[in-house]
Amino acid sequence: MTSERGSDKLQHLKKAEISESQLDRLAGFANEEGIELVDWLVRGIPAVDWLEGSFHVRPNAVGDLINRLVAEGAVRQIVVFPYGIPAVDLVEVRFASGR
Amino acid sequence: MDSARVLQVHPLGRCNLSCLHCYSSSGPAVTEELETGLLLGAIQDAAQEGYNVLAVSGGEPLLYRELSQLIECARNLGMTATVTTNGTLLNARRLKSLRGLDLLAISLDGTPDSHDRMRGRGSFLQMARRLEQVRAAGLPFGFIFTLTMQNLSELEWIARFALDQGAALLQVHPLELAGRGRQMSEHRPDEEELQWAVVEAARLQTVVGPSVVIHVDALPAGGLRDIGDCEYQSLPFAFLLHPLIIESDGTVVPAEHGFDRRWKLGSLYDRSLAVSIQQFRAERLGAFRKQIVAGALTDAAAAGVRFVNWHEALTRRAREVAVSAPNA
Repeated sequence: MTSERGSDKLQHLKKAEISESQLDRLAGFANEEGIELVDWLVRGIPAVDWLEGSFHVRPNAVGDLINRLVAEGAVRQIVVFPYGIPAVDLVEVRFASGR
Repeated sequence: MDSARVLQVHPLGRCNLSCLHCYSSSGPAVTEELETGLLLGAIQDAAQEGYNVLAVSGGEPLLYRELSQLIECARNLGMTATVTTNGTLLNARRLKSLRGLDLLAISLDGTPDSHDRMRGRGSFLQMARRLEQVRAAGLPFGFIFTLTMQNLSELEWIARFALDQGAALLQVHPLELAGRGRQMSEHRPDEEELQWAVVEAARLQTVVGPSVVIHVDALPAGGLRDIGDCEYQSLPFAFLLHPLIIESDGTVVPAEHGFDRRWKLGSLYDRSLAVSIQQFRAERLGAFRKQIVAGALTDAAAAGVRFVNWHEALTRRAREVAVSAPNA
């Protein structure tokens, strides 16, 4: 059995426009209080060139999250959906990153 | 959607194959087999405690004569019933006995060559030629792929095979270092490989479309906080310990087959599952959460990973921590 990593044979992963450190940072947001990563999708054949996902965020954490998403150079789209009537108690922040 | 709270049952250790990575060390010479009456009682107890999925594995569960009784019992209790098989023994008679099953999960370890290397020569063909009968029986089925450090590159082949065969599910399960799998420690996918598996699975989901759901047995690290923070005393037991495993010798353990015996709940041969759960909850659940769950959470946070093989993390933690358990 070869000792080479399976992922090393997948050049489309390792040559992706979206770097692993960017993936790390984006997913890392979900480790923080009040932010839940609810959806996560990678597109691009063969190269991973499009990442989209959504966070569920407490209202008081939305501003900070958006500022940080904007600071990610690769994030191209951010859409915000508030939930809760009459008072907003949850906000969905959708983002897309890549080409 | 209601979360899956799984009772995993291994009714026997016998199997027609002796796979290199088998976490239960099953094989043709293993004779261990659980009495049906004990299992039926345990399934009823588990349903009372909030378990909503019966997952029957083995050994090869198709060799268990009373398999249909287990499925019927679970279905009558409102549980989802699944069976994991190597697929090589499926025939019209056995498929008939699986009527009512919610999912038949068939093991598939890569391309035909890789599969045969793990499971023995000819095992891929023996499995693949049975799939037509499975489709004809109208049984929902999927494939379970054991992820190693080396085989993520085969996931695309498997995803396309699953699509072509009409499978509903492709489950990616990291290699477990239990049973014969312990001899394969250098093949265990590390944290980095698990992250790539999640990314590759997400990419392949767009390739095969929605008819095959690709699932990786890994939890987003961000979601683990809930496990540690929940008000556990008020929750039904199934929300606190799942999957719950019944091994073919009757031993009941948390999380994974072969879990450290210091944390076993009991044996079906000594007392009912209901009593074992009651005693564990009263005497040892707090210690389990403090020493094993909290410890595994700390390990995951320290590793700084995005996705965690949570059950393995619990198993590893239990092996590492020296504890004095009352029934050690």
